[in-house]
Amino acid sequence: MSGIHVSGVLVHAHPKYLENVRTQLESTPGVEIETVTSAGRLITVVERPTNHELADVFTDMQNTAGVLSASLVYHYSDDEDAVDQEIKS
Amino acid sequence: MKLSRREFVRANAAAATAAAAGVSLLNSPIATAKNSDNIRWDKAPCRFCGTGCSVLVGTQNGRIVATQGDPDAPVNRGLNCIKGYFLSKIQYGDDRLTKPLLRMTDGKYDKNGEFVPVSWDAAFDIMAEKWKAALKDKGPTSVGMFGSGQWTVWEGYAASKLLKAGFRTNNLEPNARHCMASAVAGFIRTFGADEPMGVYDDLEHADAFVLWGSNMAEMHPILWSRLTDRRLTHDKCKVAVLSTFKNRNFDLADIPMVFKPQTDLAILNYIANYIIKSGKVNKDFIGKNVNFRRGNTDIGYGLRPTDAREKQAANAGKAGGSEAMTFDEYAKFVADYDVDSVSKLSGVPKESLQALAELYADPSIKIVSYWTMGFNQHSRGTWCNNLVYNIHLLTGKISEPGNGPFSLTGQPSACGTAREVGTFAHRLPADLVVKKEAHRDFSEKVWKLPKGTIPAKPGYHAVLQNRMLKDGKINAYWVMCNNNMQAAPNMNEETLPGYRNPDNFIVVSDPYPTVTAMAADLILPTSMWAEKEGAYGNAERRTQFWRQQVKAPGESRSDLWQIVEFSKRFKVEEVWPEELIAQKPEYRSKTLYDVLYANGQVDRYPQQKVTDSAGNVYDNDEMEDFGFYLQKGLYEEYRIFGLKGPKKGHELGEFDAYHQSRGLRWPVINGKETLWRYRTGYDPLVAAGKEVEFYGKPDGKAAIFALPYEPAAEEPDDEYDLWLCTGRVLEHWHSGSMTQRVPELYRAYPDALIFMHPEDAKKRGLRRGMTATIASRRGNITMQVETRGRNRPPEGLIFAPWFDARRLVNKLTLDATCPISKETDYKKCAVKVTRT
Repeated sequence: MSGIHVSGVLVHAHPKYLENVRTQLESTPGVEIETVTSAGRLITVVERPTNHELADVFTDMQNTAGVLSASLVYHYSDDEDAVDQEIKS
Repeated sequence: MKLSRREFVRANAAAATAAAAGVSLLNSPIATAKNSDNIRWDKAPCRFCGTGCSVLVGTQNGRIVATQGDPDAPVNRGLNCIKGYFLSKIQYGDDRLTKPLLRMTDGKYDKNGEFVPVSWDAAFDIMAEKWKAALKDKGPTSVGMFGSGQWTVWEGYAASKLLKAGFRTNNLEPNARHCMASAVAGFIRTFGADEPMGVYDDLEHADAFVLWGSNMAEMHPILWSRLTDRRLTHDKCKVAVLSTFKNRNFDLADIPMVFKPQTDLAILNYIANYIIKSGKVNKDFIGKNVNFRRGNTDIGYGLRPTDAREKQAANAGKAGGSEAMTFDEYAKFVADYDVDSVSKLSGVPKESLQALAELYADPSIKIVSYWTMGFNQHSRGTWCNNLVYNIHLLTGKISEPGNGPFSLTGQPSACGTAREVGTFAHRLPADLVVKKEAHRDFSEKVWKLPKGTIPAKPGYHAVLQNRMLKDGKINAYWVMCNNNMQAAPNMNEETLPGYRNPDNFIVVSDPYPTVTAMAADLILPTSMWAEKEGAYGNAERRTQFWRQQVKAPGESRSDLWQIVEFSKRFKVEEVWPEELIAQKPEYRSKTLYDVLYANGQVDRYPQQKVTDSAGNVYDNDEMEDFGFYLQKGLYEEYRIFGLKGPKKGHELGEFDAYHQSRGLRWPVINGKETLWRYRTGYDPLVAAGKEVEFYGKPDGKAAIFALPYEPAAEEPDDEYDLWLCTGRVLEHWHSGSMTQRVPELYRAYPDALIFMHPEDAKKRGLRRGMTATIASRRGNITMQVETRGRNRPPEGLIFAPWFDARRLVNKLTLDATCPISKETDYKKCAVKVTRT
């Protein structure tokens, strides 16, 4: 499947469970934690081969124990080829 | 630096997310989130809940291809929930209706016929014929309309004019009756003016939050994310969550409380009692700003008058009555609600009750109460609203940053359209009511109508409309922008028989073939959301506009176009008696369109180009069709009610100001919005020399009401041994007519499930994943059992969402309402669950 389907998701974790949440998210395919703030906020980028799978990951994130809220900030979806083409150098 | 497209997109995602969290990422190659593809971006409020998030709508080649959280929006600051993220897809469901459809047999209308495509002309022909026949036969009370808190402001306003002035009937209701009426009645009763005094900014100022029957984590996720942020970054912040079952909010709760259904009334009175007993009453505040009233009790359940429960109720006919009392009498009244008896009644541990009461009582704690349907959909919903105001008034914790009661809203314009325009059976714009002659006179003057045009008697409220359809009292009925067959209570006994009554002609305007549309006789295809220019008003009094982004498919027309175009079918002589016309002879032989819309006021803004600051040009199909800027004309006429009407505090800004801003919170005075109402320094309408003035009431004082705990209309017994609570889930909005058509959301949560306690399941031979039958005295449905997951009911209660058109929960519910607000209690009826 070609194309690119990427979301930026802001996750609020309960401070008590922050490490659990981090571990859980790190082991979820397609999820990358960009940074974790002091107040238990995780800046994550999710990439999946299809939009459906992206929505699935987002749903799973919300249902992860210790996640208080997960909000989508950015979403990009394109089914076209050439996603690895250089656009800037 | 080399950058692939994938890396570019990922970097954008990270940067935008970090920005929304208020942090900046090092080594981020891209600073802004917008991409360079030929997409036109423009702002619009989200189509779903009452939070009023702003989204950026991306349009390409006449089609919406993307939406994203609007980083410049004060409400959501770039965030979006999962529903908001898939907004771009709601207009593109496979089964969009594109032509009017009439039930026909052999080329003629037949109530038992099949749906056949017809022209708009033919559709309006049969409609006008049915409306005229009903008006002639039984008069104005035999026609009615059921509208929406999802209507744009001008759609509601145009409908109000057509019904109340044109057809001279007050049988106009919004579906907001089902969700907000108790909040309205509570506000009016306590403060004499509708809608919250505070704003969402309270989320960043409060020390404590109390959720009373509000599943904010799922239903208002963006506000929940702001609340979560405050809880995690403000050391002394505490969160109390009250519900009849554990939900996702409990994850953050410092004081979690599961109470027995209906006992919230007792808990509220206990808190008032605690405040008084602990000497924490703000005597100065109540001395200056509060009156005390003893409300009527034993007020029944809003059922049909033939129901035994209504016959037995002493004050079913005087539900809203009250008499003056003193503070001491009030203190004595709440003294019965001590911690022991309330703990026993509610099932909540004493320590939790005390901790909650102390949050309210402690003068050093700033506290906000939030509620949604747990309070409002309650057979004592108005009382719940009154009782929470009591607590804030006793302590003076109101109308200032971080302190106040705040009713959250379920629909995007329940406030802006249903409440502010007043599309209820008893209301007129800007808090005016039909039963007051001065209010009718003012409205008739603004509308340039003869005196006596607007009827003084309130029309049938939502639940009563269904009963009156069944009883054949309403015969011509237009349902617009809602899915009331699925939403209204007691579908089998009241709603469906009314729609299929052979005496009745039912018209449903909708973009999709909903359950309601399929029960109609005529379906009109409707333009939705960004297919028209619109305005919504959210829960914090913020009015937001959007431009038409794309064309609607096929022959779809907006609700606004439908209302205004239909008015051309009626000559004044066909709907008004001679004595009215005699007062305005110039209206003779004119159409309702001439009198209501081409009245020199609504049509005063000529056709123009609609553009944004970047110079992009937008369509406005209604302006094109009618030849003037219809939305602007309606809005500016409507605005007169707030600027010159008898009730101050509803001032709105100029039309163009809203297209340029991310919304403004009314009252808008000299172009400036108002954040906290009723307190000097924040609200310019407070009289000079006063610190606080509840100016909705003639004496400027709010009312504290003495109101007791009374049991629910139907409680579990030996046969129907479980409470049923209905509600929503994060992924779907209301009846699911939009969200179920978004593949990603459908997949995320395809079918409604019953949430029940594992012991309750076991006792009935059920396990997670098995199919069970839920039966009430009124009907039954089947659903899969869920014993885990996001909702964890206690033993004795089940929760079932109502979004699923294949599992209609409202076959089970009882049409019991709050007798004051007439809003249904969807949270309490008795059912049994068995293995299927």
